[in-house]
Amino acid sequence: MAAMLLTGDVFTLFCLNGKVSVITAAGFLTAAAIQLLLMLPIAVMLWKGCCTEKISEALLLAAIILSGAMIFRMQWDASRVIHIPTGNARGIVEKLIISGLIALVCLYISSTGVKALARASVIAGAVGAIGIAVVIVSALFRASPENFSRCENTISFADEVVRALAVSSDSATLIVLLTLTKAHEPQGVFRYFMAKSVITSAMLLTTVLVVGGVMSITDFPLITAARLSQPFSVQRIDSLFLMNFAVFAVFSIAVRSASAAYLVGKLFPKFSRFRSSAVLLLMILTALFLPESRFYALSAAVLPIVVLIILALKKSLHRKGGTHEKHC
Amino acid sequence: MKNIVKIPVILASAVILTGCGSSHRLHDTSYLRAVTIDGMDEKTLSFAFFTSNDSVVVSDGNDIESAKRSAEISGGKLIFTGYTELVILGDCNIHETLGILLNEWKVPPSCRIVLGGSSPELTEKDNPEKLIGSVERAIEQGKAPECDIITVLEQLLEDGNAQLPDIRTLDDEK
Repeated sequence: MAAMLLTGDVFTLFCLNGKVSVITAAGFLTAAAIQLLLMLPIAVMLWKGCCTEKISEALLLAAIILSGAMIFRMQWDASRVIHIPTGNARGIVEKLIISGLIALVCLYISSTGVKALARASVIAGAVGAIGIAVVIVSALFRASPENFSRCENTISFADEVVRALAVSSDSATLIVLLTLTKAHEPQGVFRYFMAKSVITSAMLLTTVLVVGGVMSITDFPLITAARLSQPFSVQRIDSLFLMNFAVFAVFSIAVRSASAAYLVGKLFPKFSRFRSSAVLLLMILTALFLPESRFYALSAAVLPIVVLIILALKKSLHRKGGTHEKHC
Repeated sequence: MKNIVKIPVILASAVILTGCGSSHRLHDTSYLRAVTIDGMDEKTLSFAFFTSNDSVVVSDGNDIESAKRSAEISGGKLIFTGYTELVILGDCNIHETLGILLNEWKVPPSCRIVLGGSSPELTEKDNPEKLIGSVERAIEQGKAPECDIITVLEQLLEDGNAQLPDIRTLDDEK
């Protein structure tokens, strides 16, 4: 479960747009702590046998569609600096070609089932972790402690927390995976957030150390950090980064589409075929037509809270009624 | 029946998604080694490449990108800038030029930036390897400041100016 979610977290960091500073790292850590505080009670309730209702599932589906749309949007934005061979296509056609290719691979991954996706995520996560470690170590050769002070904080801490909540809007996917993988022990959720915090801090602080001096002319600081992490003049380590980027892009969408397809199956049992295709299409259309930024932040922060409230209400109603639901 | 549909789809995917359908080939690309950039409004660039069968190309344009595109037409090949080792600057906005080189051309962080006086231009007689070697040795011997693109940009963004070695002075010292 952690591997499936961490690939998405790392991918959203890769695509992070705008300046990054120590305050950004603090904002991301605070956002992770907020998400942990929200997710722990949900994990405990699910662990004790509480089940999600139709209304919660519909909200989670909406949140996952929005989260997937945000990933597509980030991928399109990042294609400005990462060469994706789409021929002479530009604008919306280029976006559709990129999305279509990702969707095709996601459909193939989803067709093998969630178990296979979970196993593949562990392998992709492990290979990705080695790749990121190599890039971070290479980047540290170029690190300059002076860059901490060179990197001005133009965004407030509160704005950084909102940005972090917006780009790591995977709480809904986490809730679905908790029910789907039947591995909803609260310790697992805690360990996932710890791993997420460590990886996020390492990547952001390395970026500040490497790119801090030229941050003001850098659009995608983490991608630039990977490009600049070149310990030997004849070697370009960014090719290793590109492989990670492509694999993580596919897995982060695949995990969301598999979770969304599962929810569609629960909400509409008669809708048995083309569920993955339908949710992928919805994500792409949402990404094309919805405004960006704070809208995602709102959905990411509010929808899991609503689910938490619904679960809590349901639990208290069960207590009053004297029943204890163990099987969903 | 299903297999009749599946097989062409799989074969088409294998050809399209594995890059077999790519139109770019290795010998269609020139790998840039050194470049001179001159001009405040109208830009004049001269390009020297790694391979000896690619001659030096001089081109003009309204901006750096259009001058590069003109050079691609004159040279008949795409120009890959990701391995550029040396940039010689003439009269131009250094801050803006280096920003374009870093973000658009994606030159490597080890690329050296030097000054070349007014209207510097590479010719067939110039040996890029020798020019780069001169800059490297001068830095090693402490006769020239560190001048990779990142160090220069960091100085420019922090102080507004940067210390750059002059390629003509290096020639005099030799």
